[in-house]
Amino acid sequence: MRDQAEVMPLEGPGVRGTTPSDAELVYRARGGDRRAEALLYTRHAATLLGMAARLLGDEIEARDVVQDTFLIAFRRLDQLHEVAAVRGWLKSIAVSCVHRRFRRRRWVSWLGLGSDEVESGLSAMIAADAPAEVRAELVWVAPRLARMSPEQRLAWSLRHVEGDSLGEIAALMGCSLATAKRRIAAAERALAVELQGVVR
Amino acid sequence: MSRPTLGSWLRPRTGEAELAEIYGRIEARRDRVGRPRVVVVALALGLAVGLALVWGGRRPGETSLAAHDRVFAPPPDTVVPVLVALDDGSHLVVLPGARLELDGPDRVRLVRGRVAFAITHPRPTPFVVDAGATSVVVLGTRFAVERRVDDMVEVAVDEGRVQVLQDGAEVAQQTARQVRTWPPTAMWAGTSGGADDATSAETARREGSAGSDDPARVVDRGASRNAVAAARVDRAVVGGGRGASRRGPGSAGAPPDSARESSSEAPDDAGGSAVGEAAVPVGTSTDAVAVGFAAADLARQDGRPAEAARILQRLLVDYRADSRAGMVAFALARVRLESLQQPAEAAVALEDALRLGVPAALAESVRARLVEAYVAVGDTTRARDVARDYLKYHPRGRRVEEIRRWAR
Repeated sequence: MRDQAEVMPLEGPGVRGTTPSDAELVYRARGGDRRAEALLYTRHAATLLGMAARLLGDEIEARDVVQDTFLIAFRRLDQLHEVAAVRGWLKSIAVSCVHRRFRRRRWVSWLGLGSDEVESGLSAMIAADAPAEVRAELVWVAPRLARMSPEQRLAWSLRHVEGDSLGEIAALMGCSLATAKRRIAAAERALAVELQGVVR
Repeated sequence: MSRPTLGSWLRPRTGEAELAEIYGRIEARRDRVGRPRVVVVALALGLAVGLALVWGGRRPGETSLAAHDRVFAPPPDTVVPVLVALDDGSHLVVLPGARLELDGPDRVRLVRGRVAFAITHPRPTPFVVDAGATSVVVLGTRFAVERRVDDMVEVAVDEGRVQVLQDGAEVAQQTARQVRTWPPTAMWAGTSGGADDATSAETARREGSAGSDDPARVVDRGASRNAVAAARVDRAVVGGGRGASRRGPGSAGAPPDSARESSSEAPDDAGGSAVGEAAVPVGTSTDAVAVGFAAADLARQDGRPAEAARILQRLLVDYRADSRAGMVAFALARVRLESLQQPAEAAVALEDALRLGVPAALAESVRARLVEAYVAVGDTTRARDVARDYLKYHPRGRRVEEIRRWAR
């Protein structure tokens, strides 16, 4: 059992001025300070939750992803080499969890138990002030993304929904830059083919 | 000016309440990670036992069916599969009558029976299934392996490609939608022993008059969302609509004469010695309701109740005629009531459970929870009616005193 009593407070009246950096929080968390973990969570969870929800098209499932992400992260904090880069590290874990979710959906679908309801979730997240053409694009693309392979879908979504650079996508997906480009291109081709079918 | 990303127009709810709830779940799960998880779902051994297994708070490693999470062997006289979730995201479904032993993180030994595998990729080292002299080596795909009492081994590939070894030497690369039956050792190729044990899949091949290169044998079921329904259709196609079917796990009856005559003709494009081959889907011997239950319970135990509810809801829609539909409805109601705090939806599921039929031992619990659900949504009239039913049907029920309050 970790001894909470010996850990200095991170925030509050007794703490000297500055907000602790991510690196400091990581060091403290590695030492068993659960409040440091909580602060890491508070700092990054909302971003990860938003990203996971957009990638998955399911807000409820996104919560599970955030839960899994931090469980993994807290367990593997010792494996984080660049302590200042905790945000990117957490994001890569979350992307990996999302990938696993996609695979799980395929598995469940393979058993004949899949549900189409999930894939309508993306449309439900569209902001009220979104322009009509953006709204139409998102509604059109959501079911088509669902038919793509998990890798292509993730790569495309990170690029076009999250706006990540190719380098970031490669790092997040744990693949080479060429592989990331290839996956995005394949996804774009698949969408283009479908679009041609609509235009004809 | 560059165009804003699509994501900037997607605004999921990420409020404090959601974040606090997630953190609470993280805290609750901190000490429960790191081992292969075993979920045993009981359905047919007796519903009381079933409920204890499904909802009785079992945790990994506590099941009597597994020893130290390394041996998985559901008894043959049940329809209950064991779903094993490995840390790398792979899933194994150990079907009744099978015995599977984990030899390491990437290696398992199939002692008997049928196991379906969904192995994640990419992976640094191949995943190996040893079944006697036959080994199946994969880098990530979905397939099933069945080892019969006579040591014949059926390998059914649903997606991707697997490498089949016999006595340590590669004999074939099996690809998607191929089912082949391998003799106990490579020496058995084409012998009468192999012929006697040819599978009904082989019968199907014969009756369909389809060789290994015949594209007509390959049934595309990618569009199907219902594996069982697809399986039925596929079997009809493969078997020419004359009743050809695969045997279930562990069944080793004599094949029809046609199969016996033809087993040595089975082609092998990779130089292997398979004695039977057909395009039969992997999932045909899988009990979808049982596996669905297992998947739902895995989700529930992992703190993903929404996913559990989704699976159960789907089961309820697709298998409403199944004798276990009432159980499914009850399980759904419990998830909605206890994990998702959705009493209104739970009430609907509980009413459904009563309509579909549940055993008497369970009916008491269903009615008690129905009272709870109606109370929670503020429908005191309906709560009173159900409470009166409870007292009428279960006068000596465990919750009589508590329920009596609402019957007034």
